[in-house]
Amino acid sequence: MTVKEGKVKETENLGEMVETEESEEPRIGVFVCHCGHNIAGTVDVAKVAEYASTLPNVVKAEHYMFMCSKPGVQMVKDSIEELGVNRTVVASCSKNQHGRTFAKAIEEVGLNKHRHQQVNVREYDSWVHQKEKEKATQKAMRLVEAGVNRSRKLEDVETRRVETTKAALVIGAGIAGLRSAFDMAELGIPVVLVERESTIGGHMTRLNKTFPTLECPQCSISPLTNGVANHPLIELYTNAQVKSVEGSLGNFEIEIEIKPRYVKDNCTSCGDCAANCPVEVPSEWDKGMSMRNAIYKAYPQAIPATFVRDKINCIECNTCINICPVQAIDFSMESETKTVKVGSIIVAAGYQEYDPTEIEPYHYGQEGYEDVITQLKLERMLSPTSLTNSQVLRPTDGKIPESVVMIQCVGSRNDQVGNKYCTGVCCKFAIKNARIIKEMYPDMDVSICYIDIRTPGLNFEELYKSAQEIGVRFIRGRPSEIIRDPISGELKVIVEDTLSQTPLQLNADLVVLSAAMVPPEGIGPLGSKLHVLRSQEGFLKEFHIKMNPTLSSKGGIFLAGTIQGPKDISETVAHAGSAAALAAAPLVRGYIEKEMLVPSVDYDLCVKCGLCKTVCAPAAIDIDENGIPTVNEVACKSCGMCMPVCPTAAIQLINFSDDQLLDEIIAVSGGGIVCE
Amino acid sequence: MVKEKTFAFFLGCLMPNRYPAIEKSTKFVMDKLGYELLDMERATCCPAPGVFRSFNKVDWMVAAARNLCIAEQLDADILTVCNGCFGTLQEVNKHLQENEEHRIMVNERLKEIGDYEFKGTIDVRHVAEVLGYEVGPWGIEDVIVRKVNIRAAIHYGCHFLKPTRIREIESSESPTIVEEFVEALGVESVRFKEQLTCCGAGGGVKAYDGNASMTIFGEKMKNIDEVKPDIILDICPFCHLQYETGQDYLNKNKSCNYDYPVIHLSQLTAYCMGMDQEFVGLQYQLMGREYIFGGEELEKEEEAI
Repeated sequence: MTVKEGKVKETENLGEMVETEESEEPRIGVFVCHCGHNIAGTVDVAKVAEYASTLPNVVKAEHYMFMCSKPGVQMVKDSIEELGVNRTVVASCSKNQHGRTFAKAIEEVGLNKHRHQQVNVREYDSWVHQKEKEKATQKAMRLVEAGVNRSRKLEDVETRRVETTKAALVIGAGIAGLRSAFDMAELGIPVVLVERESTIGGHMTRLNKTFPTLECPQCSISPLTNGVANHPLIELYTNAQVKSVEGSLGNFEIEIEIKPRYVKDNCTSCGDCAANCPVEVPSEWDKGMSMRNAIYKAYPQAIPATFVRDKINCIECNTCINICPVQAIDFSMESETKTVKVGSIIVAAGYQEYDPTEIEPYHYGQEGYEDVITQLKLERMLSPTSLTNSQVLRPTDGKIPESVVMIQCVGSRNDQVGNKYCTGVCCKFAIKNARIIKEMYPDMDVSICYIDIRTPGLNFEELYKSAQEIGVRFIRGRPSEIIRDPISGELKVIVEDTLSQTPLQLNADLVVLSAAMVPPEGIGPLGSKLHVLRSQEGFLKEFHIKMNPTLSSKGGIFLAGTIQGPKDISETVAHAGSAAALAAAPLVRGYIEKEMLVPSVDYDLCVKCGLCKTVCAPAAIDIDENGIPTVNEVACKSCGMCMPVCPTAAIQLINFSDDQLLDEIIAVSGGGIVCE
Repeated sequence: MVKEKTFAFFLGCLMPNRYPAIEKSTKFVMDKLGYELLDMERATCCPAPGVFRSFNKVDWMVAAARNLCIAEQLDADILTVCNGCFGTLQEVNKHLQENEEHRIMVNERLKEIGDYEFKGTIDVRHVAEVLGYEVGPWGIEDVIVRKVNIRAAIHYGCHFLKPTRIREIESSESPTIVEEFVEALGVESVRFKEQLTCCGAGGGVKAYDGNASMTIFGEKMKNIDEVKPDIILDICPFCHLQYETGQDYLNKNKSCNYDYPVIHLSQLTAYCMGMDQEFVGLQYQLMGREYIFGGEELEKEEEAI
């Protein structure tokens, strides 16, 4: 391919010169791309280039087969060096596709990259008007004219270097938080890890087995929990919460509130205190499937191993204080607040199991329906350290049930409770648990009532099949109700087998609800402190679902694991690793390059209404006590939301000002706009 | 503002024609409790929420709105003793209050049949809800003269609580409003299997497919018979009719031998408030003609000197 393919036409400056605010006279180069047949097959590119050459300030207009190719890019560069072009317009594909290619090219020859204007005549024009060639050409001409108009007033935008603080904060020490913290620490970044509960490990430590390999989760996670606890670069705070977050991208200041354990670090974890504590309450960690004392360790392998006192339930009998061989117990400990400075934040706050109480027909949690439990409770029942000795026992009478019915999509795919999404994990854990109990009790009737079985991915269909083969019964139908015989107390699950169109009443000695994963309690206040957006479902919203699922809506804050949406452990670990890499990059480099494509405020016009602050998603606008807004240029994401809400047009984003956009619109509309 | 302690009494179709004793009981109860019941002249069928709405929702709304207009002109909330009437009137009232487009459309049609305009100024109430929440078990205790000391199988019916989003009374899955009220009258509520399912009459089923209706009802009676209550207590004349004629049908055709007295909440309350048993009208019903309420007379303490 040679340059000859395209008809190159150099023009003199034919049109009148338009005065701009800048002293330098705009000299614009226009390049129309054929994109093979993609554009040239529909749009008469020669005619478009010809038209462009007649526009004011255009000193060069040509068309070429592939502008993004090396010779194409070279044409753009040459025009700058040879003809003194100081603004470039390329009419090809979208800004996202190749805008950067040309911006980078002009930068290489000394022009500010914001002097480039991309015009999209492919997606916006040739692709959608393939049958109307004449009109498509007309449209391309207008779009190019609009681009030229816009380019005329483009200003240089500086790129500023922002030094970053080499430290990171990770919120949440479940599998996602642990993975991110460990990965960053391994890159040499000091990490502050904050966990709300008294121990680390999160939901994974509560599971009995992990699918699809039926592996022991404790064994999988304990190298990581130990690794994090002993890592010299990781500072771990349990019983702690983020109190406030200030700053932006690269430099955050965070206040952490650490609640007292009432047990000092010299605790040897001997357990004498708990053994002699007279108070017993259901264990939260064990989902109420066992009891704990008022001074306790959540589970045997808990990290930190230091015991913790539950102040609310403690009767202050002081037995533990007297019995502790190392005098570790101190009831006078108080909350402390610690301030840390970090460059990146990873939110790994996890999920919580949906509370099925609101689905009334299932009667979960009601008197007489104690044998309706959730999958997490079943996991705790089956686990090696359970009260039931790992057996499946009915909560009401402690007998081994003859029939177990699992109900899928409890709180998922359910418009009535407001959760339309599929959790995507429940089919897998229900099948896993069904198979485990069917193997333990071959005579037990184990049924799963489902809407659709969703087991994509390697090894999961195999898991599904293995459960079918050993006799787990799969019934396609969403149960309408769990009923209880008022005389015998027996439970029945009412469901229609929709494959055979048969109404069924399944005897159920034990009903297990596969409850959805929902955003964790307290995510609202945390989200507000961080100034990150949440999705409709309540999870924290990612920057881009495909290309950047770990960045939040705010620069410098990343998401790891199920806080972004339901995930299984494998996905969580991969997601957390990605978050760690992205969060670490600017800290390892030591600085961030930030383009100052930010708004400026004309304080003579500003009426101090504060509307700009209310629409600013990354919270980059501060209003001082006099009502005057200032823009945090590092936090700004250049979205431009502040402009249209400003009643006096006092806030203007550079290169997107009302004035510049109007020039563009006039051309697009064919000059039909009358401005008064 | 509507008049206080006054209701426009919507009779409906079944009660005045088949069970006038329920009407008498209701009037007795409300009068004793200090409420005034106004007659709704020229009121029509509600019309029934299942059948009419299924065929033509607009006509259903227009006819219901006409009834609502009559009460609006009386400036009083509507009182009904029937789940069907309640279902229709409450739902249309609420819908037209909220939906301007339909309100305008309905009002245009109402103009054609007379001097009616739906304004949305009143509420629609069910006697069970008035007794359960407004009078309350705490309020009825002072005015009853006897307690019955019986075990009752309580049947709520469908339209009283469902759809819960529109009725906004209480949960339709585990309601307690009637239980709590009748406990004050000495009634022990006995739970039975599938207590909250349909009686099999509503939605046009009884008229359209008698066999299906009786299959549903037969199951219902089997579950009730398991717990052997003294009476069946309902809050709807249509359920009342189903329990009455249904038991008779099962006795004659399915070799059953049921004789459970079927009693509406108004009848029971009236008896406890001092109405003689003969006006409760069991002798005119099909089931439990010989049933005597009995119970203990309460000796009211004389006012302290």
